[in-house]
Amino acid sequence: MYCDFQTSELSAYVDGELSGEKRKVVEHHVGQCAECREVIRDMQQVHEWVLQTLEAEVVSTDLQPRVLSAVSLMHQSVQAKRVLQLYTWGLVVVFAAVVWGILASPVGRLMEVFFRLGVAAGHSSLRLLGAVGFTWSTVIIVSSVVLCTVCAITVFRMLKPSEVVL
Amino acid sequence: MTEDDIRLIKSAKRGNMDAFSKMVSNYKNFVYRTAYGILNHKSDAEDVTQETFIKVYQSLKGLRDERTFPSWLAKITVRNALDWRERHRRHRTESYEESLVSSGLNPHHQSEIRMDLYQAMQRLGADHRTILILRELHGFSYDELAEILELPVGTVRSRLHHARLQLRDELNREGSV
Repeated sequence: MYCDFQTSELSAYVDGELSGEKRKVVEHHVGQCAECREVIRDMQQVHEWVLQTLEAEVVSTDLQPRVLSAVSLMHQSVQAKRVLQLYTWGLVVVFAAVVWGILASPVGRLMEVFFRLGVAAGHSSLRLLGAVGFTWSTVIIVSSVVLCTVCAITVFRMLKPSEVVL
Repeated sequence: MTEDDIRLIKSAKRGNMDAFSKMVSNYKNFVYRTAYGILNHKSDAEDVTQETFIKVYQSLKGLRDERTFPSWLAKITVRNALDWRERHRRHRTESYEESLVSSGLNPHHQSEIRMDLYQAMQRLGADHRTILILRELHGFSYDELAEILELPVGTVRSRLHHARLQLRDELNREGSV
């Protein structure tokens, strides 16, 4: 004969997971049903066996040192990364302070003047090229390049020691 | 969980390596037995144990309530063991004799029930094995099981029941019950 009551309620009853009312219903049924009592006995026995069997398993003695060594390596690498980050930020701050110091000094003022002059010259050149049109812009650029090249060659020749003709 | 455990976890969260080492010592068998129950292979279970503690070290700061540490640890262990099983899809089942020898116990003095239980557990699905181990070995409540396995409590209850009945039937077949 198969008892219809053999549901998950029995497991919950064994585990003490049933509320008062449901627990009473199961208790009442189990008191009358030998089949369910047997199922509960089996479950309790299975519980004992699983517990005893797996509790007999112990991890090998070398596992803990292995775990700690791996974690320690990771810990060191994290620490090293933090130190590196600290150094990087320190360098950025020092660099910014040096740049600010230079810019605030008379040398920095002179550099600023040259920079402004350069920017202004660049702007003027662009505006000039825009005003004269594409063809004249090309002519001016090519002429400038040729002129610069000729100047460079001349300077190079002047600096080169002259050969003595016998 | 004792107050000492909670203090230990808080200290480990702050980066104290001695506290972490003590924590590993206290919980290594908890993790190992869970992994072993799921994988049924000694060296795989040890690898999963190592991997689990590394993950614990990496994510311990994210643990809000130290009292939930056992279920949090069980969740990481179960996930690692199931992932490991997926990654190493091979039938690596250690023989019972091999398991006893490697555990340092004399196989001739072990009860046959243990052998039967291992064989019966092997025939259960991973889901059933996992829930059985978490409940029978660690005694997690249904609410905790639902949290660990990310399942509704009703599913936990029916899965556990079916797992128990299946294990009982397997043991019946082995002649232990």
